[in-house]
This record gives sequence, structure tokens and C-alpha cells, in this order.
Amino acid sequence: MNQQVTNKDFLMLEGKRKRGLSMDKIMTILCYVALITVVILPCVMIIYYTFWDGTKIDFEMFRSVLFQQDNLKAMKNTLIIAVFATLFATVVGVFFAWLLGRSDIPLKGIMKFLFSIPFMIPPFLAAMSWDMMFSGRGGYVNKMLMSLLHLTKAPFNINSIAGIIVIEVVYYFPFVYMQVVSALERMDPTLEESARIAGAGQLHVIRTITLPLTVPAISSGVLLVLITSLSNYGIPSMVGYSKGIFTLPTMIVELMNRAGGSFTGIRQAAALSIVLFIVVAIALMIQRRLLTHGRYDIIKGKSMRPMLIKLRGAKIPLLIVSFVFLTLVVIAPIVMIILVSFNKAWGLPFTAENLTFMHYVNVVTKNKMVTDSVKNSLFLAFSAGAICLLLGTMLAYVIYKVKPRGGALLEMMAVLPYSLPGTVMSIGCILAWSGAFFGISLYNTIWIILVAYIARYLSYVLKSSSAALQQVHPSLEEAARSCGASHYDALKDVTLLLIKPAMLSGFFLVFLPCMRELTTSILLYGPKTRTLGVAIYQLRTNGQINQAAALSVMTIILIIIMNNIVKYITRDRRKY
Amino acid sequence: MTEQIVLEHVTKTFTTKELGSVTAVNDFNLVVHKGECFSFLGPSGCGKTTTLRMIAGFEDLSSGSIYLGGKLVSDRSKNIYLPPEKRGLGMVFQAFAVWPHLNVFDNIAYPLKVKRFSKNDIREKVLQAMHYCNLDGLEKSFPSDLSGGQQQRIALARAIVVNPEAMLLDEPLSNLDPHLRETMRFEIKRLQKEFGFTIIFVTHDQSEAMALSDRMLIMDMGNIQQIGTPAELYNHPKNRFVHSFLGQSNFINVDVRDGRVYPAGQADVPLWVDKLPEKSGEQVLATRPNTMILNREEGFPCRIIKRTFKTDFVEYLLKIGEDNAIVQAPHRELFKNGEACYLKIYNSVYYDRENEEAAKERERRNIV
Repeated sequence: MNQQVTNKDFLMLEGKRKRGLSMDKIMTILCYVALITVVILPCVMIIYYTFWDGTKIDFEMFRSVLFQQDNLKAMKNTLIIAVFATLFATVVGVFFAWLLGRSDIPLKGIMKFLFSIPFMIPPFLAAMSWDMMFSGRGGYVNKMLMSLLHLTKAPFNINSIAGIIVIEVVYYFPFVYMQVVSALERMDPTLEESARIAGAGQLHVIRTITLPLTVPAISSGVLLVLITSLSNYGIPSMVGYSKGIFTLPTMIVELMNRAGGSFTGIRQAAALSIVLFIVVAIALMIQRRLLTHGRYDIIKGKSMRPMLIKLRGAKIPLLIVSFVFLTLVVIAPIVMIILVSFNKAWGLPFTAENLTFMHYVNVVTKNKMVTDSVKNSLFLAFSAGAICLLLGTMLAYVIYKVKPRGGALLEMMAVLPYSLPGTVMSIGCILAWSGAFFGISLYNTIWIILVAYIARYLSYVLKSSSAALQQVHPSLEEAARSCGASHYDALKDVTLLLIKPAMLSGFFLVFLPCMRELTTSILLYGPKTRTLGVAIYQLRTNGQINQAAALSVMTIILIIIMNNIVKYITRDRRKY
Repeated sequence: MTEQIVLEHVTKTFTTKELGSVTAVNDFNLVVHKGECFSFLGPSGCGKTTTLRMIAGFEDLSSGSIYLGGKLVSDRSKNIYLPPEKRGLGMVFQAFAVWPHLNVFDNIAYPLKVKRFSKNDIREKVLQAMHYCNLDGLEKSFPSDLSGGQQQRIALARAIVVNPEAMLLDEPLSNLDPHLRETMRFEIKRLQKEFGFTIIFVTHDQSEAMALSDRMLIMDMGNIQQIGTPAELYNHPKNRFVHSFLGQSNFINVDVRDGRVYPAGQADVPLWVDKLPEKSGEQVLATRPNTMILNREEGFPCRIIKRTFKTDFVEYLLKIGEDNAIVQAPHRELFKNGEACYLKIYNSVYYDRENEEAAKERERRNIV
């Protein structure tokens, strides 16, 4: 009584799925199609437009764009800002990471909370607020200092390269802090203790053991800051535009706006996008080169308590310095926006008779552009989140469980937009989806923004889902099989349920940045498809600064609420 | 006796980048009877887990066939392969593989739910299985709140709840601490008595295999070295590998001439042995530290190099020809360091010197 079984089971086991379309194979094909459409086409189009003048291959245009005076200056600005912002952000970030991770400084809880705030505020909002405080013409803090100290000139001018660097430093140092503090907190304390036993003093241990061991964490923070700074649009455009200070991303947008749809203009923007991409790629490569050695595992056992260093006499001064700094860079900008949003008109002093709710009422009820933008942003964030959730999880499953030939290529395609500046991605989307293929033109519709969002944020879900998927030990699925469940059942009952929390948090990892997005949408919005970020930006450009502030406050509140929902969903209910 | 699990000429070959082609399991023939507790023992990488996974259906065979309860379930040449979920086996994994997102009850109920039992049946069977595995009252707990021993009991309960004819246990005790290991070992035996299922038990722990099995086999580099009861394997090991793998061994290179056994490199004085080999020439004499007797009257004259006190015996290091040997002796008669004494060797077994090919193959595999 031998039971004859179909060939399919047999082949499945061997990983050969040549005959017929299995579930796994269909998913693999879907992943390829989706990634090629969403990621590869825009990239190809940029290159195509740059080097093809309509009739022949053309390098002349690229060369002239590269060596044009304004562009060279923008390039120089970009590099100066990125280098200095990264440098200072790293120093500040590492210092606070050590202070909170390894010293016995009090009030750590409050400080940790303060560090998480910049993550919730979009960079262009922070820049807007700093502009309100320190603008050379009429910044509130400048005016205050002038009348207090009887100065004739404004003491600070945020509308400068230095100003941009300062804003980027205070905005980016928490990225470094986060990376380093988690490494410090999980570091095996015996590594340091054995150095103490060997006769090294406390400072010596920090210098020779602790810091070198955190180099991988520091460098990944540095990389993050460097790339974000190089491709940031919001900050330089908010504070630099009025003074004619351009960086590569703002220059690209400027070229695109100036082009007004002309072929040559668009080609120039595409060429500059390539320049920006090359700059980012070089930064990435230098980083890789510097960091190939020195990767080691500093986390050994679990739940070990690192030794805390006693600050003794330095405790109170350090605490004061920290709080003054954090108040200035984290709390002040928020307070500023709130104050402005309740003030009758820009420039009026903050007194009781100038207090008004008018701007909130106006923004919510009277301004169609704003209400549209809220709807658009919600729609975009939900759809992008949902699509990324499905596509990203499917990708993670295909790459790590199905393991098809070319799996590495799939992964590379999916994470490419992560290091691609948003501006570049948007230019690519415009070029690809304005009728270039099958006459599909999404330009000026909400769909082009959606496609760009998906391309930009897909890798977020891929990362969270694949991390979770790799945690699922194969024996968990095998146990289900040995209990009588089929391949499909085991996937549904065990694997999918286990990675559900990660998938949900992946959704919000996409949803949140979409809600506050500016860089992509500023290039892609049409008359009816403004997003929240675009609306705030335009209110401010139109001089309705108080209304911009009111809308910003509401945006921040919305983001904070969403953020807490994420925390609630992904909270550690059971330790898997 | 009914044949429960039968493997005929089972071979499994892998191809890897580093090693090229490796035969993980080579011409494996085995009959496990109904109700038997059978152990696969061997060092890591010997192919025992691969064999178990082939029986379970998680790996395919390169050639050969596997029968479960008389039914052919794997045979490549006949294009037969039954997927694991249709083999009706119970399995317990090394890492427990208890699903962290399900509570204890749902974990154990899973196989019944897959088989679409009614709610009442499920409840009754799960509670019974939990009772047998000493898990009473833990239905609502989640695995992460339980100890390693309890998690392993969940895995056991989940395997026995469908009352399978055979259970495959893949190093189920190696993640537990020594004390718990002993308890669980006892419980597995108890459950087997209760339900009468056949067990195949994979382990690299000799004492575990000896204590638990009715019969066992020892594997090395994909080949079965010996099959038999624990006593047979311990007392009559077929080759040097089996000898050294079960308990402590002394191997002494000897030269057999004229019906006498001379230690290599010391051709004048013969050893005192209880048994002579069948043939002459260079061989290896194998014996165990507890089957050698030190005395002051008669035997092979030698000198104590080092004495070590242990709790239940005293250990002496001796030099016999070119080789060192360890002797365990009771505390009541002590010998001093450097003292001259006589040695008698019992339970002596003779093997050929290990051929170089085996040593090379071992080295090749250990590279990875």
C-alpha cells in the first residue's frame, strides 16, 4: 500500500519549482515586477534624460551643468554643510550618549524623552521655527536681544551657511545619540571591567576601550547624518532660499521650477540629480572603506547591567549644561511655533491682547488648500503604508525564505532608494511617469506622489519584516509541519502571526514620514494634490506665517498621537 | 515484533562550496521495532540529525528508501515522497520550537486543530496530554513565562497529543541544565510506557543514550559504526571509534609476537592481559581505566607518573611503551607518585591501527 504522491511535493522539497507556478514563484515574479517599475525605471530615466538629447548621446550638457558657477557653488555649500553638520552632530551625539548611557547623571528619563522629540518634528518645521527666532530680519530672539543689549544690528543671522549647519546639528545629533546609546547600554560590562583590573584608569578605559568598541555604532550614526544632510531639502530651502543660498537639492528643485516644463530645463535638473547622487555615493563609499575593519560583536550575554561612572563634582554642572542645551535646541523651537500660532500677526509682541485662535479656525475651516492637503496626506500615508506593508513583507519573505536566484539583486533594488536623495527619486518619477511609458501620465495627480512614496519608504518595511522573519527559527515552521500542517498552513499559522507586530510597526514606519513629507511632494504636487508639508511651506512663502505655525502645531500633535499608537501596538507584550 | 521504522540503503549527499561533495549519510540500514526506544549517538556532524530529518520528511534522500509502519514514504527512484505533515509522526526539536505567540493550550491543541477535531475532543485530549506531562493549570500561560523544562514538556505534550505511533526526538534535552535533563529523561521513558510509542532519540550525550535506549547505534562521518544494546556497545565495541566514544578509553600501541603482547617501543617485557588477539603484528590494545588493576605483586611492571584524587576513585597516570594510560583504582589501596607497581589489563580488545584515510576525511570535514 504505497501512496503515490505528486511530483510537486517532491520538487518543492528540493527547491526546484520548474513545473507550474507555485505560490512562491508567483510572489518572486511580483517582487521583480514591482521593484523594476517603482525603483529601477525612475533611475534609468534620469540617466537617459541626462545623456540623450533627443537624437544622440550627449555629454556636453552634463559637463556644462557640472561646471556652471551656481551649481559649483551649490555643490560647495552642500559639502561644507554636510561635513560640519556631521562633525558637530557626532560630537554632541556621542557626548550625550555617554552621559546617559554610562554616567550617573540624574533625570535621565526626561532627557531621553527630550531626545526623542526631534524625531517627531519634520526638519523643515524645525528650520521654520529657527527662522522665526533668529532671522536676521525680525527674528523674535534677535529683536529681544537687540532691545535688551541696545544693539543696532541683529546678533544672529540664521539665514547663512553657519545657520544651516547649526539647525542641522541640533536636528541630527539625536540620530548619532540613538545609535551609540543603545550600543553602550548593551555592551558587555566585563569588557570594561577587565581593563580596570588591568590597571587602566576611568578616563583611560573610556578612551581605549569604550570608545573604540562603539566605533561601529558611531559610524553608522555618522553615515546616517551625512547622507541625510547631503540630501536634505527642507532646512536649506527654509532658511537659505531668501538669501540665495542653494545646496544641491534646493538647486535641483529650483532648476525644475525654472524649467517650467521645457525639455532642456528638465534635463538640467536630471543632470544635477546625477551629480547629487554621485556625491552621496562617494560619501557612502568612503564610509564603507573606513569601516570595513572593526566590526565585532560587543554584545555577549543578555540583561547585563553596565557599570555607571560616578560624575561626582561634575554632576551638577554637566546637568545644567545639558538642560540649557536641550531647552534651547528642543523646547525653544516648539514653544516658538506655538507662540506664533496664537499671535495675531507676524512680528507683534507676545502679549495677552495679541492672543488669538483665529489662525487655527482659519486653517481648519476657511482654507480649502489646507483641508485638501490634510485629506491628501492622510490618503497618501495610509495607501503608501498599506502597499509598502504588503509589498515589503512579500519581499522579505521572498528574499529570506524562498531565496530565489538573484535574491541579492532584489534586496539591492529595494534598499537603493534608501540612499537615494528624495529629490533625485522625485525627478526620476516625473521623468518616468509623465507619459514616457505606454502614455501613462501621472503628472499632477496624487498617484505620482504615491508611487514616489512607495519607492522611498519600501525599504523601511522590508527591514522590519525581514528582521522579524529571520528571528523565526525554521524549527517553528517544521514543528507545525510535523503536527500535520501543510506548507501553506504553517506559513499562515506560525510565520505570519509571529511577524505580525513587525509588519504593523512597518506600516507606521512608512505612515509617519509620509505624513510630514516635504522633499518629494514639493516637486510632485499639482494644483489639487498638495500635501501637509507643501501646504505649510506655501503658507509661509505667501507670508501667512501665523497660519503656517498653526498648521504646524496641528501636524506635530497628529504625529505625536500616531507615534504613541505605534508604541502601543509594538510594545513588548511577550518576549519572543 | 512489528517493524515500525525501516531504512534501506539510505544515502544523503550534499554539495557545498567549501567541501565539494560530502556524504552526510552513507548506506544506512536500520530496523526499529514497535515500542522500542532507539538512540542515534555520535559526534556533531556525524549525520544523525540528517537521518532523523529524512525520516521526518524534512530532507530528501539521495538514494534508498524509508518505510513507516510498513508504508513506503520516501524513495527517490520510485518518485515517492510523503511530506512531513502526512507522515503522522510526533517530533520534538532541540530548541523546543514552542510557538511563542500561542499559549500553552493552543500550542498543544494545534495538531488537533489541523486535523479538525471537535472543540470538546480537543479540550479533552489537550488537558489529558497536559496532565501526563505535568503541565496542569498552565493552559493560559505563554511559553516565554515558563522555564526551559516546562517548555520542553509543552513540546512533548504537543507531540503525544495525537497519539502518534512513533516519536522523533532531536536532542531534546541538550538545552536543559543537567539536573532537569535527568528528570526529563525519566519522564520521556514514563510517557513511552504509558502510550507505547516508538522513539528515535538523537543525542551526542553518551550517558543519555545509554540510560534511555533499548537499542542504539553509533554513527561517525555518515556511517553506522555499530548497532546494539547499550551493554553490547559498551562491552564489545566493534572498533576503536565506538570504544572511545562510549566512556573513557586507553589505547596502547602494541606489537604481538609469539603469543605475547609487547607495548610498542618496549620490546623486552610483555603486558599482562586477560585475552590474546587472534593475529600477530602491530595492533592497538583498547581497554578502560576501570578494567585495569594496579597491584604490588604481579603483572606488567610500571611506574606511577601522576596521581589525582577524584571523589569516587583515584586516578593514576602511567606510561606503557610510547603511550600514556589512565587507571582508576579505589581509595583503599594508595600508590605514591613515582612508585613502581604491577599492572593487569582486563577486558582487552584489539583493533587495527587507524588508517590514514579516515583521519584525512575527518580533517577535511572539520575544516568547516
